[in-house]
Amino acid sequence: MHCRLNGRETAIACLPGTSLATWLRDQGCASVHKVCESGDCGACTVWVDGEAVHSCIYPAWRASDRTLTTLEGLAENGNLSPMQRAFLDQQGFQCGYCTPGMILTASQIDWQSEADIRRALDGNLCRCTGYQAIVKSIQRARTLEHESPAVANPSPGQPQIGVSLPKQDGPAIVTGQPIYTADWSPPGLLHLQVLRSPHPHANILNIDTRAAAALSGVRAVFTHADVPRRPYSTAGHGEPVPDPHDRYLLDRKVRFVGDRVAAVVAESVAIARQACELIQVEYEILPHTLDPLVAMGDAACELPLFGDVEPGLVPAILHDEASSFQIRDPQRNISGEVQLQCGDVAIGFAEADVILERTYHLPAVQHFHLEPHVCTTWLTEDGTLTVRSSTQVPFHCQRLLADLFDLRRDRVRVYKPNLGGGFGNKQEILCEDLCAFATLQLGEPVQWQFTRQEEFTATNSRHAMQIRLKVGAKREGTFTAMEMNAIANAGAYGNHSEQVIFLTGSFPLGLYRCPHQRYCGRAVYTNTMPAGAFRGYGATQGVFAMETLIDELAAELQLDPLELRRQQVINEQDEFLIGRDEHFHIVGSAGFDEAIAKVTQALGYQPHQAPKITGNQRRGLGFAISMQASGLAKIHLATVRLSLQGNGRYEMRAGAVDVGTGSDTTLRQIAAEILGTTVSQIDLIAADTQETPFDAGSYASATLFISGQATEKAARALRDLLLANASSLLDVPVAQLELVGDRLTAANGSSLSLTDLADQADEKILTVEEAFAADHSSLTFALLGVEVEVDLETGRVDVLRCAQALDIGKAINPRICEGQATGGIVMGLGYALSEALQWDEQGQILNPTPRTYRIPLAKRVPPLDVFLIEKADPYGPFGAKGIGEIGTNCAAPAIANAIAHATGLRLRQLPMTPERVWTAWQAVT
Amino acid sequence: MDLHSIETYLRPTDWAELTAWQPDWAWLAGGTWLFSEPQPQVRTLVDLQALGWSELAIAADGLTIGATCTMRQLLQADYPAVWLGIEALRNAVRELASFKIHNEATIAGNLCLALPAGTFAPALVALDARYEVWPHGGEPYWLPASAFQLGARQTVLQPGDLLRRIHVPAAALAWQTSYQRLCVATAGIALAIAVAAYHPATQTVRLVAGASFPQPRQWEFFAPLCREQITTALAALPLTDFIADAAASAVYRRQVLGVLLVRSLSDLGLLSEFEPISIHS
Repeated sequence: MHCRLNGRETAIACLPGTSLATWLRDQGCASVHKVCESGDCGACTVWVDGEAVHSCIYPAWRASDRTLTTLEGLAENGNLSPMQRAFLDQQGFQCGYCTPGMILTASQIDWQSEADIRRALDGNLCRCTGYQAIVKSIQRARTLEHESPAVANPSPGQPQIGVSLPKQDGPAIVTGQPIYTADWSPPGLLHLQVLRSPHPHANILNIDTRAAAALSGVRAVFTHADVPRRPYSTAGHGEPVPDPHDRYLLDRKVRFVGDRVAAVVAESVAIARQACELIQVEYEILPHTLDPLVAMGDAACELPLFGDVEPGLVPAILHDEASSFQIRDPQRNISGEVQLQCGDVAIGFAEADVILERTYHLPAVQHFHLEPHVCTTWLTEDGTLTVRSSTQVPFHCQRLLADLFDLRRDRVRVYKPNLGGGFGNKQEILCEDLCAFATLQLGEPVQWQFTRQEEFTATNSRHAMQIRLKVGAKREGTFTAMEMNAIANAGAYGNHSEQVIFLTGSFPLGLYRCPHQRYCGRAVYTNTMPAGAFRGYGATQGVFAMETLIDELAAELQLDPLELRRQQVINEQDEFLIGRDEHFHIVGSAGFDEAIAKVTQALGYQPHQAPKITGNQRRGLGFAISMQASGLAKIHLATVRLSLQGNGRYEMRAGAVDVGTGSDTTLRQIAAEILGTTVSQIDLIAADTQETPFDAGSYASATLFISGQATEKAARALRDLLLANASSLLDVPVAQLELVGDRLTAANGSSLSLTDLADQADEKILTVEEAFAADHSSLTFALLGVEVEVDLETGRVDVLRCAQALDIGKAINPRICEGQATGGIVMGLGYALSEALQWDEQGQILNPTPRTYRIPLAKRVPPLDVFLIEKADPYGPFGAKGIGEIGTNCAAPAIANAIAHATGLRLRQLPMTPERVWTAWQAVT
Repeated sequence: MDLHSIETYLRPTDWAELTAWQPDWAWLAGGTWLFSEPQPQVRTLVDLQALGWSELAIAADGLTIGATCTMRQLLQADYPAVWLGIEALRNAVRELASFKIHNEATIAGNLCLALPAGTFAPALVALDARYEVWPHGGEPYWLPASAFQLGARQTVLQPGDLLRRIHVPAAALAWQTSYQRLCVATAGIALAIAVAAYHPATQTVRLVAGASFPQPRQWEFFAPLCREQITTALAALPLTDFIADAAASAVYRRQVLGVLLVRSLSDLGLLSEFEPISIHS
């Protein structure tokens, strides 16, 4: 069998059940991205005889005698197609993992209107952009046919920050270059797959691996008997690791459906999968529990606002093993607990004119980063364990692997190529551990890539929570007391839970002036998939409770909900009271008045505006605010090394991780600004434990705020160094020297090129390294307003318009900031309306596919207006603050409040599916 | 996705070649569903594509759709202007996934899959379609669309049987139709599908429901109808007849099915606010 692949005759030789996507990747077509492998996401789109198909559901053998085009074959004679150029021009990507499929799909869309484009993208999912930049790119392609895109690159000496520079990896993204983890591997690669538990809770009595080991092509089978028994946490945190150490490479016990039982290493994924099916396991089934309130037993009664729990229940204990540690209360399945307090809530509630107390239910939801967890491990000639991984935390991963296998840290190298999204789920070390173990045992390269089903069932979710919130207020709208209790489902392992529940209480409570506040959060083990880090990190859940209750309170007090917030929200004059002993959050700048003005104007909102009613259709407006810190003060360390190279270009080595957001570009903008150069003159080596200095990683909205300040420090130090060297070479005082572009020029006219300077100085001398850890973490604020339409007959909610204002200090790269905002809103839209992991009584996840777990499609997303409020923050680099997470938090409460405005219904459970809205409406009619 | 258990890929060019059938064989039409889930029980794929059965024949007596006719073919063909009913079939295509799926997926494959939320079954029932089945080792026979699907993922087909073609009579294609569908999100697996077909000459209204039940259900009325007739017809069914699963309850499915049925009637201008005149089923 033969086909014509990108103009070249190619023989098709593969197993008969192979999908075209796999075969194309085996041919080196790295642009064919495997994401859902079910024909839902479009990331593997290719053309067969000129027609777009999902290659993951197209039999490879059917390609015989056909003409195939992948993104690698789209450019003709080296000229990018109009659609590729349009995607570059409008930056229709963030992580870029969906981009090849988007471009090949978009090239075939016949459209008249924006709505046509959005409908035609039904078979293409993007989790980063919120689709807005993609739709604009597709529209732009028409007008780009005969002109080349204008690229706005400032010259040296012009401002490099505050400018929407294109992401520097854009050309590689739109041409489908092999830039992601799975796109390269050393020769002789073996593949790891694991057998996962079918039971929610069981002891493994016996494992018979003989049949699996005997299968041709199987190289090793590992069970708990073969691995070191050493407790650890998958959470990627810096030392001292605060999280429960309750995880083992492979354990004698399984604690959720999907837990690891045994690992197979084989010559192909197919053989490894087949071998897994041949492993015989004898289980002793243990009682299991899926409900955190039940799992806590009597301890549930201790929570002041959950006093109505039945006493006397004896739950199954998940972590009774003696070797695990840092578990808050293993006998009662409490993995973590946080108590915060300021003032005395009893006094505060006694002073209140109005008290509202409500319970909220938040579901577990999944990140759905397009690129799955994947890593490749091998030993270099000198025996260094090398790990190429799609991780947000290479340095934490290095530390964990060194500890697990008793290796010196410098004998472990972890690095990441481009990431196809993470959203927190790659702040977990989920695949590197077993893969590294296999390489250490076998001495050979091993790769482990998760399937989409594994992403849904065996990684992490956002924490499902029940939140009880009680707020007391005076008639005029001042808050007298707030009390919140949150019970989070940690799932089977503790990882991030205690840190997550901290933010659940501290951010929503800290957002408002209130002298008496109390919070108790508990994370509880159950026999479900673990919950972990996810954009917003617990704040998202707490904000939903707080912002919907504040809205309800405003209605109760007959106050405008925005005016109430405006008066009570903290500002630069306030101190962040709650949890101040542990974290160092500070209000460096706050631009609420401007935010309110922008958002209300965009939506045409007037205080006390009535909803619009047309038959069974009702339209209403709703708002929500939130805040999120920029990184973690004191403990989040970033280091940057900057050099002038012999060729006169700069080299920047930074441990910082670009998850796809564009931080590799923005960090260089900061350096370029200070060095009087341009981003294109700075060669970047990033996030490699061997090649770059330490950086804690990409999480907690930290990269720009913390790695950005390390960059700023390093750039200033290098500039000083260059000026000092030039000063002695030219014999001119430093104060009379200017560094612009590739030249240092003195006031007297003499000058020196950077190349000459590098020639005359020892290169090592022209290198600086600077570290930064923030004393304080500055808070970013956001306000979102939405208009919704509710169909009372079906309960369906459509979001018609969204306007978000973010007070971000300074936008280093406005377009990248807008991309974070739009992407965050749309992720929040899914959380609000359609996303929830559902499980049956055994804890088996019922909807582990994108067809049954619905993330927003382009056609569901309304026009999004984003306003960046720039009010320089004294604590950030050039006044900038973090923006990675906050955009997600406001969507669900704003939509709930808009539904309340439209219908009077107060929905306190997410997602607000048509059925839930309709059921609520039935209850009041 | 890769189907790791497949050992053999057969591509017959003549039906006569297929004399044997094994329990671990599967027909491969568009492949868009087969390759979307693990198929651990299947060892052999029998690709239908080389049999030349992709016909979409437009004739005086109606429309014939071959076993491997794709959704795109159906969507893009030119039909006689009087075939108003084609719109129901076109909507069945549009409501099912992206245009890239239409390029490969087959109508017959969608029917054989027999998902309760299948988009074609209710439209074809509404249009009086008949299916030709080629049983393994037996004589071909025709049956009405309404008799084909027996339940969720269950049809009259026995292992090795094949749905060879679909015929939609010209008379039914002249009916006016309306197609309504609702999902939890903007797209995905439907919770309810309502197809209304109206024959002005006889004033007959046929209503077909999909996605709410394991297989399509139909009612016939005389136009015009009022809202209460729909409510009454649905209330007459035991609630246990409606699907209840993680996506939605039976009560909600009944509600939205009623709403969609009413909207389909309204769409055709058949909804009256008057009392019901008569019902026959």
